[in-house]
Amino acid sequence: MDENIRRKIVDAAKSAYGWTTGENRVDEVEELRRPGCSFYTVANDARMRHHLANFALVGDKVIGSGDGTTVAKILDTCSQDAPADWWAEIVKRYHRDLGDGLVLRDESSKPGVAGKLSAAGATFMRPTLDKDKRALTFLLWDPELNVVFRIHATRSPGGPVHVEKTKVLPAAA
Amino acid sequence: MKITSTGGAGSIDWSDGGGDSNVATVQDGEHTLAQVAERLGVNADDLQSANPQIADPLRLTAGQEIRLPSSTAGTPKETAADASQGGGNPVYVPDMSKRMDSSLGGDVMRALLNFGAIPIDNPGPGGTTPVSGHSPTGTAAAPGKAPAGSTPDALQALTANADFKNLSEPNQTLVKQTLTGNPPVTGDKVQKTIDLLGASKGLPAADQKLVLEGFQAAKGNPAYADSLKKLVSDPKFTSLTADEKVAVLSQTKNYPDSRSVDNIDRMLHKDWFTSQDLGDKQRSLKTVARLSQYPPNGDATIIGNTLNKFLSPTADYKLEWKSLHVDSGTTYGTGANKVLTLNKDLIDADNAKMPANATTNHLVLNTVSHEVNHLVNDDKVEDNFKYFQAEYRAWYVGFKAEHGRVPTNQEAMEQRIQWQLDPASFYGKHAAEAMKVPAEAQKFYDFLGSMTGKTVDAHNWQTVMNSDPSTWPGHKSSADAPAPAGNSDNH
Repeated sequence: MDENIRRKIVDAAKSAYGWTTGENRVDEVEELRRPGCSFYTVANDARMRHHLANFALVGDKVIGSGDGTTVAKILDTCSQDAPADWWAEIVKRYHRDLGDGLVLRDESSKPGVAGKLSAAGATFMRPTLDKDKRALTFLLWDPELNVVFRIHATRSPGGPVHVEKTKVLPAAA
Repeated sequence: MKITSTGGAGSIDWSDGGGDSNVATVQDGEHTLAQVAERLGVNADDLQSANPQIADPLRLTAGQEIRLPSSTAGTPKETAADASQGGGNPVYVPDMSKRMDSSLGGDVMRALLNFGAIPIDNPGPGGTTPVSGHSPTGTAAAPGKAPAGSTPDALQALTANADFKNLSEPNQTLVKQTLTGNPPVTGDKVQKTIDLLGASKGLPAADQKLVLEGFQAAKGNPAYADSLKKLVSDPKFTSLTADEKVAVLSQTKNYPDSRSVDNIDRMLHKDWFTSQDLGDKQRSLKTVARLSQYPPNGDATIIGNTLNKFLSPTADYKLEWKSLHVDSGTTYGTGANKVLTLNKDLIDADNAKMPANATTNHLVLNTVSHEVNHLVNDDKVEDNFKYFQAEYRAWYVGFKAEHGRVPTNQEAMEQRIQWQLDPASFYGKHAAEAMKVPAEAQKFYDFLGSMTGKTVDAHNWQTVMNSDPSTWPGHKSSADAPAPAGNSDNH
């Protein structure tokens, strides 16, 4: 990784989270890379049970996770020709209402979930993006609560991204 | 009648559903019958007896219907019944409003409510043993002292007491009905009541009301009354601001259990608590109060040890509240250098009872013990198996604290190990680094092998980890997960 980029990301993490002690380890999420856009996680080891912080380098600007406007900014610049899996990862990582967790890209992402969904009368679904790219739906496993949510993200032209979380596992009555 | 429970025991919504079954519904975040019992304020054993159809009371599903015990049916409980008042032994407080027309008979109860001379010597299941030796002569007790004799004598001592007389008429009625509605009315019980009235007489009327409502919610339990008396007499309490006193007394009312009151009192003596602002004090109060009275639903040893780390006179751990929801993902809590930091965005800063939901259950019943486990083991984030094991141990301790049992191999694999080894997680990055060293990697393979009963190596570990638990040999999936190394009870 380019040292200048690493330093930029570390500085952003220190500023956003106050991670001034311990090591801030930066990794690029290479599978998300798009023309003009790259994506990084930062792990600070000063405390136990930290989360990974997500930062995007869009052009020469570092963007951290935030609200629906932040997510829209990244999508507007970086999403051209990206598949639904990519969209789901970006919305999950950069919308602060979602965050840590696992996007269930296929049935092998979280073994056992498909069977449990079936037992609950639901079906497994891969991330899906509608034709005009205004609505995205995907399943997200929350490791803290051991809950699977269906995430429905929508946006109006030029507007912020709105997310709705619906618990699908464990199933409600 | 149909009961739909949406919150704490005080929020049970009673509506006529037209049927004759009395059912509650398992809520998000509830996994065991004991947790449902805690929320509904009913005895866990009674709830289990009323639900013989439930094969495994430790594995419930949200939405599942639970039949209520017959003693609960048709009678809303005002608060969570204290599951273990008095020395930590479970006590089932009988619902006397229901029994008025059954076991005791309406005439008897009406007589009691009118202070009739009918001694009650049936303590009920787990009730306090009555003081032996009635007072045959009806000798009047010394002022301010209740005789250790008959019920009428004991009640006469109450009604003759100056502090009782100084109460407003509604408050007098509350005290009397609390005692007579929760027999046996022993001399000791009345004495503890009188002592509490004496200790709280100088409080503002609103505060005194909170004391009496707590006493009522605790069903006149003498251990609770004694603990509350000590608390309101404590100079640390009397030196609080008016708002802080209300905050303290609100939680002694919301969690009417002597263990909660005792731990709140201990907390008042800790510098970390006194230095908190009112909002954080409110969060700390409801957290400690709720966790204190949770056993026997959770693991009493872990929870007791965990609380002692913060509350014992020699404790040097600190609890602080910070906003941790400023980024992607909810961090419930974290710890370092003997400081437990909990996410203040998840607990309301007010005097209400904490709502029992998936978020608060996880934070209070699980995360507190989880993070303290890291602190007592002085765990460090490292690129090795030791760190992987430290995270597994803390998860195991949190699970056990919340559920009162150890996890199975399948639960540990699905809820934790797969995530700890997923490179998309914080833990997975460190595990991936560790597994680059063959000797360290072998420790991971051995661990996965012990859980699954399979031979694990560098080529198949991911396949084994993600394999169907029903294919694990020797019923490994339902066997207890490996006991972690290190301090796993937070002593």
